[in-house]
Amino acid sequence: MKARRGTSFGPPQEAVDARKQRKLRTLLELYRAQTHRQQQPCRIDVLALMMDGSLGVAKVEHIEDAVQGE
Amino acid sequence: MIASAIGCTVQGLAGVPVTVEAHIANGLPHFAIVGLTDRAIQEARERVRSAVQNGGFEWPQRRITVNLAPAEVPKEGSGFDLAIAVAVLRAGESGIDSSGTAFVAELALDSSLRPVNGVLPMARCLAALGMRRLVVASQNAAEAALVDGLCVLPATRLQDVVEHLRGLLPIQPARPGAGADAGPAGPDLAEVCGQASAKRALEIAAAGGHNLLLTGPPGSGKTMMARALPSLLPDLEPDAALEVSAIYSLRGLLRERPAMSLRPAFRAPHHSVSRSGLVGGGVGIAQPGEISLAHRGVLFLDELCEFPRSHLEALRQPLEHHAVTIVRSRAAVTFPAEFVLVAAANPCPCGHLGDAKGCNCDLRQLQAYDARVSGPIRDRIDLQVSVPRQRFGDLFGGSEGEASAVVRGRVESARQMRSGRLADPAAGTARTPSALSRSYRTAPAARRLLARSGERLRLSARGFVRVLRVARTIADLAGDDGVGEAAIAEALHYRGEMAA
Repeated sequence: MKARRGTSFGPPQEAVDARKQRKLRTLLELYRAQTHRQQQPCRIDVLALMMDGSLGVAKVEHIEDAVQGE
Repeated sequence: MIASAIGCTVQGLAGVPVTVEAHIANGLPHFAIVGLTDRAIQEARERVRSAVQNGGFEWPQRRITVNLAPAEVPKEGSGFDLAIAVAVLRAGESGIDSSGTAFVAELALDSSLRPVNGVLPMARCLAALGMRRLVVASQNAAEAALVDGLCVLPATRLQDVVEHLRGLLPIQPARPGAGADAGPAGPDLAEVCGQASAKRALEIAAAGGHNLLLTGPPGSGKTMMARALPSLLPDLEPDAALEVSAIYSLRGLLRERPAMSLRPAFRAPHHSVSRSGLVGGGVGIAQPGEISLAHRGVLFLDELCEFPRSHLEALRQPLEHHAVTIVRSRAAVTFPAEFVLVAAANPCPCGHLGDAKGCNCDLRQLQAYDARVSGPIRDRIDLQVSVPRQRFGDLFGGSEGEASAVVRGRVESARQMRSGRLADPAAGTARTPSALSRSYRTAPAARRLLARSGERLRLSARGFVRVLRVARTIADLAGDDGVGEAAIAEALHYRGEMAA
């Protein structure tokens, strides 16, 4: 989940860059190893949240299976 | 959502149409370009994205893949920017109709269009393949519009292109520029004082396309005469002129020589030129060199003996085949290179061998100097004349010589005579020396003279044929139907001077 109040630094989904994707994949693998779910199919989705001035959610974009590959 | 747009690249002088496919998929924002691209095309990602945003369009915040097909053709340069932008915009929204239209331009960050090299050969290829419209930067419009059957749309901004494709605000097609031709840049032959025999050789070279070597002491007028040669050459046929302009377009040199110019080119590379600068090459896909820029014109090598020998040897095949093939790891390309070679040289290092002033070079220097131009190169130079020092009387008292326009008239009629002869199928295909001699209508006495003198001069097989060709040109200039003894004698004289 990634939230942004404005787009001056690009939309929230753009902040999920290669580095963050790598971290998310590592995180997922660690989680699968610790909970013994290596065989279980899984995916990473990204929820991009645009906030309004009072920090309410103005817009949500759901990107399914956003982080692919090794 | 998938959409495409047509772009173009070049391999040598041949254009290769490229389909630019854009696919927008769900996923995190990403932009990849594939299809055997070079660095400039990878950098297009940043240019295209900024140009699209600054043009007031929304850049899709999703996973964008652009493919340049056919994938096996190496592609380079920034000319795909516009096609990539159009393909991405089309994939993102409907209502943009790019059917039958090709796009060749670089994009600036502020969404304006920039010109690229090679638009003319690309336009020729696209027209031949039945493409109806071509969008280019307005600076490229004049050259592209020279191609028949192609509607050229000049644009200055990406917004204009999109408005046009949406059918909102059509772009006015470009018209080919008027034949604004600067006159011959070189001196007029009338400005050259004296030097009758060298002028005669110039005339023969212009009429028959024979290679010419001028030897003489410094300051005798060799360079000036070589520069006057283009003024003796007739205008090019429109097709031939287009081919020459296409070569200039590839190198981005159309500012030097307008695309609609019909004048034969004159190239005079300095002797410090690199070998790839002379014959073609360079990094990536090979570029045409000076010999191709001189196509259907004149290549002037001043101070011939100062050119590195390897450069001169590289001229051997182009001089015979009128084309040069450059093989690179990525592709082999062929450029036309049908030029008249005019070379100037001093007879020796001090420059005064055979001159009244006297030569003070020693024998070893002379031999070394002589060896700089190899036999095979000399064998390809049909007309070898000396340009002696002029006396005071020749310079200040002599009468004005013929103007270039007068000589050009004779050259034109000689060329007409030759093309009339070549139209005859029997003469057009004559290859063996004897068939050539028959088709040239060589008189028996002239044949005997050629046999006698040729053996004495130890002419090569090529030498015999070349003497015959020069003699035929001399007869054409005189308006003679057959080649007589005098023509053979004159032709032998031009070849013999150096061999003797």
